[in-house]
Amino acid sequence: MTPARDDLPQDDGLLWRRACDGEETAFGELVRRHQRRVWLVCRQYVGGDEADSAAQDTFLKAFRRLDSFDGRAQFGTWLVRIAINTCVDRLRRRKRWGQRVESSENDGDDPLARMPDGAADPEERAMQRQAIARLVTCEEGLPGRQREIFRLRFYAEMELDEIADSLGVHVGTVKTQLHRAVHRLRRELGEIR
Amino acid sequence: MRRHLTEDEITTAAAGLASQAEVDEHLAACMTCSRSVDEFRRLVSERRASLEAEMPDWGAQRRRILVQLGEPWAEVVPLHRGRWRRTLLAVAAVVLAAVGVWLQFGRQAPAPVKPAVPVEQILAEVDATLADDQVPGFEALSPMVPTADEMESMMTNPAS
Repeated sequence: MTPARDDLPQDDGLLWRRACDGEETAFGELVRRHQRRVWLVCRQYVGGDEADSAAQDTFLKAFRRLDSFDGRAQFGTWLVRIAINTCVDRLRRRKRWGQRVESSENDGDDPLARMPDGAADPEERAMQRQAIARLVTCEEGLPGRQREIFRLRFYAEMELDEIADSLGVHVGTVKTQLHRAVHRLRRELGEIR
Repeated sequence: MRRHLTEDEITTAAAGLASQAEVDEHLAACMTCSRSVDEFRRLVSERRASLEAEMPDWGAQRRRILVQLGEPWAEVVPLHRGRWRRTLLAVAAVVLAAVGVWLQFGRQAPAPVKPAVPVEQILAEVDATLADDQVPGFEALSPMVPTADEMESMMTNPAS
């Protein structure tokens, strides 16, 4: 009989150990806990069209390499690192095969069209859409590292030290790049006069 | 209290980076500065909401992952990836199968060595053929060609 979710340990490390012993339910629970973040990370790198399959790939790779997790970082951070590598590989492959490495926002579908209707007034809603489109455009203009850190912080909702661990940089670097990114975005959005 | 925060301090607050207690205190009291911070944060959270609207069905995604893990032979490659590899493997499999079939059945077997026919048997067959009057082409010669019996009597009694 498979254990109910309540019977599963809260600690990812213990779940990981059970997953290593071949307990599929334990790995399923790890997927459940981390899939949202992994998807959000993939979304930032490869765009909406590929985010789902990149996230799926990430978990399959993680499962096959479960024994290489050494517990030095958090399990979630380890997963994010695999997700980033998976996405970077995909982007490289796109480039190698001559496909255009499109912006993660420019994947043919209008992300704003699916935006939840937060503003009741159509005019207000249109303005909201315009503001988001402008933000997306300004993000695209950021230097690569700044954009990456900004998106991991605000859209993948990662902590500063997790970002540092995932990218293999110092926390101070993350803070500096994030500050520069926000400052530049505020300036380009006209919030700094 | 200071009149307003610097842009740098507002950026620090908007980025969610640790700011000094003095800055937090100011933001709590100053509408203008707190509006600057909130404006940026609201825009970012609206963008995040638009991303959440794209999110897949987590349950379905989880099932897909677990199904693939349960079937290790199901190669997990996205649609646009690995096609050439599968084609190459298929071609290699066909070639291997063909080589196997050829090794098993197709190689030229050495011609069987026929057992040597005894000379007596050949002579007997020739005699039988020559004795047969019906063999075409021998009609004209038949009066001149002695039969086997005549030949035998000639050999046993040369005088006759």
